[in-house]
Amino acid sequence: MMPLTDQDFAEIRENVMREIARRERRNTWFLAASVALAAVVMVFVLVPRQVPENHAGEAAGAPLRTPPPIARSLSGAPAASPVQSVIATQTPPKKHHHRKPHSRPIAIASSEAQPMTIELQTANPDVRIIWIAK
Amino acid sequence: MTAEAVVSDELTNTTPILLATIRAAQHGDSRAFEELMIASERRVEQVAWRILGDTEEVKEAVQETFLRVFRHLGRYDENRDFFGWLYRIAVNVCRDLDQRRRRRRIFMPIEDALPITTPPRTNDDAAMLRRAIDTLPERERLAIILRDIEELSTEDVAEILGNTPATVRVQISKARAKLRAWFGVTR
Repeated sequence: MMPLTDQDFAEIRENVMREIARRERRNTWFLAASVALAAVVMVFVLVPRQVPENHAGEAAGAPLRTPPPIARSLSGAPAASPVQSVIATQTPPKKHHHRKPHSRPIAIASSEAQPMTIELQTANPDVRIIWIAK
Repeated sequence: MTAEAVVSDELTNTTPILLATIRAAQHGDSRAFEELMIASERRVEQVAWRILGDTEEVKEAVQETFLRVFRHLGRYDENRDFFGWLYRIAVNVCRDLDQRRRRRRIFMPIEDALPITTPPRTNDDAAMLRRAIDTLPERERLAIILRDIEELSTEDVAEILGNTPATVRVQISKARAKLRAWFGVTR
């Protein structure tokens, strides 16, 4: 005794094919989501490694942009140490262009083609030591 | 003769055509897979009906069998008989459905449950045989359905059920003895 008719079989085949198509769509979405997730993870893994390097560069360059201790001695306040130093690099970081320049920059930043210049201000305001390094 | 019947006959009688269809289906040809279903759905229905005996469950079994066939078609070994492989999947699906049904029956209210140990007084031999087979333990029931009703060889039955031929022979022998006893009670 065969309980199923041709119509039943046609319906079963249709259901099977529809289910297969649904599963394939789901697999495609899963694959796309996995790729996207992997890309996001890679971005999060790789980018933080570059940021500390930038921060480190900024940290090394930070003393160059902080107000020079000499400014206090020039403004009449007693100098903290006999000799104050100001270091000016030949290539200041570009991302800080928006900062206002110091009101009285003591360090003379040379042009880009010139070597680094270090200017030392002694306790005596009339005596300055200028060191030019290549 | 319908177009489906023609496809069915071609596929079941000509192995190279069947193999070509299987290969096409393995490579994602949905039309080929549909032809494969047409060629084998009657066999799956037949074995499902023997095991389950319920139209809705047979439909569910046939559908689930072909979904599993699609999922595992890539693992099909061309050196083995396709229909033997298909039978194994169908029997496993039917076994799962049957176990689910029996679990449901356990939790059924007692007044709704059918008395499966008491043979019904009926003259319909086929119905009586069905009820008698239904009282057998699962392994024996599947063995006798595949061997005596589906007329598969003992080796094929053993492969489908994952047993040795010797075990299947013992199971069939026990099942026959129980059926004889069952019919002895009813007549």
